[in-house]
Amino acid sequence: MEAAAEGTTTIDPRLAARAERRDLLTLGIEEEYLLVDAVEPRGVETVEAVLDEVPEEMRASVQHEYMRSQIEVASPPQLELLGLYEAMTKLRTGLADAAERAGSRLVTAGCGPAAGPNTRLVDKPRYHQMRERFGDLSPGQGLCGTHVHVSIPDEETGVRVLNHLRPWLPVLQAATANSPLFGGRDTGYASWRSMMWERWPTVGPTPYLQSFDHYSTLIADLEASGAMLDEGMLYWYARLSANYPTVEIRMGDVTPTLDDAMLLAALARALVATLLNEVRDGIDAPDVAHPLLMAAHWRAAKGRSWNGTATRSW
Amino acid sequence: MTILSDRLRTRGTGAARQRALLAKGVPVAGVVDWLARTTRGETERDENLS
Repeated sequence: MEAAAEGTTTIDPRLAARAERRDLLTLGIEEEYLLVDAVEPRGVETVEAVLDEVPEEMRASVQHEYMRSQIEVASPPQLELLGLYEAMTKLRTGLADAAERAGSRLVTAGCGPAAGPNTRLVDKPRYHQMRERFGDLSPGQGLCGTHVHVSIPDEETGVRVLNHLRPWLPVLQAATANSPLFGGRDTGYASWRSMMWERWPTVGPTPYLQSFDHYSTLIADLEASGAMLDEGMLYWYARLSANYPTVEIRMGDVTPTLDDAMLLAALARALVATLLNEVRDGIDAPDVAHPLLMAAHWRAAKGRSWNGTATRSW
Repeated sequence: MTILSDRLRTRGTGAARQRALLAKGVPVAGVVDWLARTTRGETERDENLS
């Protein structure tokens, strides 16, 4: 639940030039984490204390999330997976150390596994405004996801990539499922966070888009409807970043290991690179019906314990 | 990427690994402890939950 859009920011020109020379797309990750008590497994409201303990060199990469028992990091954009892995290792380790100095632990789970009281919102006007308008849609200790940013050449191309991405995202969601427990019990879902997250009015598969103008019009209409405060609340499973020249793939739980996160990042970039070729070759994206995408995302969240039969009708 | 996908296949998703711990009798508090240690990369080398 990021801050309001502040206008598009460019990627460092030197990195962009290297990406161009090497024909690679830039890659970045945002991860949201739970803060739990040092002894008990319940969420604790230590985000301010943890931020106070974050080393200065990491500070620009760390920020609040929605609840006081959550915290978020964002990697700098990278060209190489190894660079991303090293950056994220430093962030995870540095933040885990900061959390311990603040009397808590950093936990990668999509939602709070253990029973415990609901924690409070971060004390920011935006979050209070969200609670006032949308009510208690995210009870518990916080919902934590992973967002992958992959660079795109321009917004019009990005919209076409979003269309092509639609049927692939349930697979990535299934691979990142990491929230079977909530409030101390097994929910019967591999990703219970996905089910809780769906309650927000703009969460769901990206619609099939005609153009960037269509995308922009939908955002304006959604804002006008009251279903989101601003573009920062556009929670489609893939979208154009409001702040960077990237597509943002954002349906996955935060994953326990960095290996899992790197796999998601690698697959996301490979997918976008492949789909960019399809866009350049003039191949139309399959217009998969929204209910079928919803069904596929539900199956991804349910996980292996579901024994239904797969169908394909597009 | 092949190595990463092999690791996911042998270890299972985070959800599967949490459930594997529960199936071994680890309580929810132990699962949270595993998640905290895994977040730091401490369980990477020695776990074999598949």
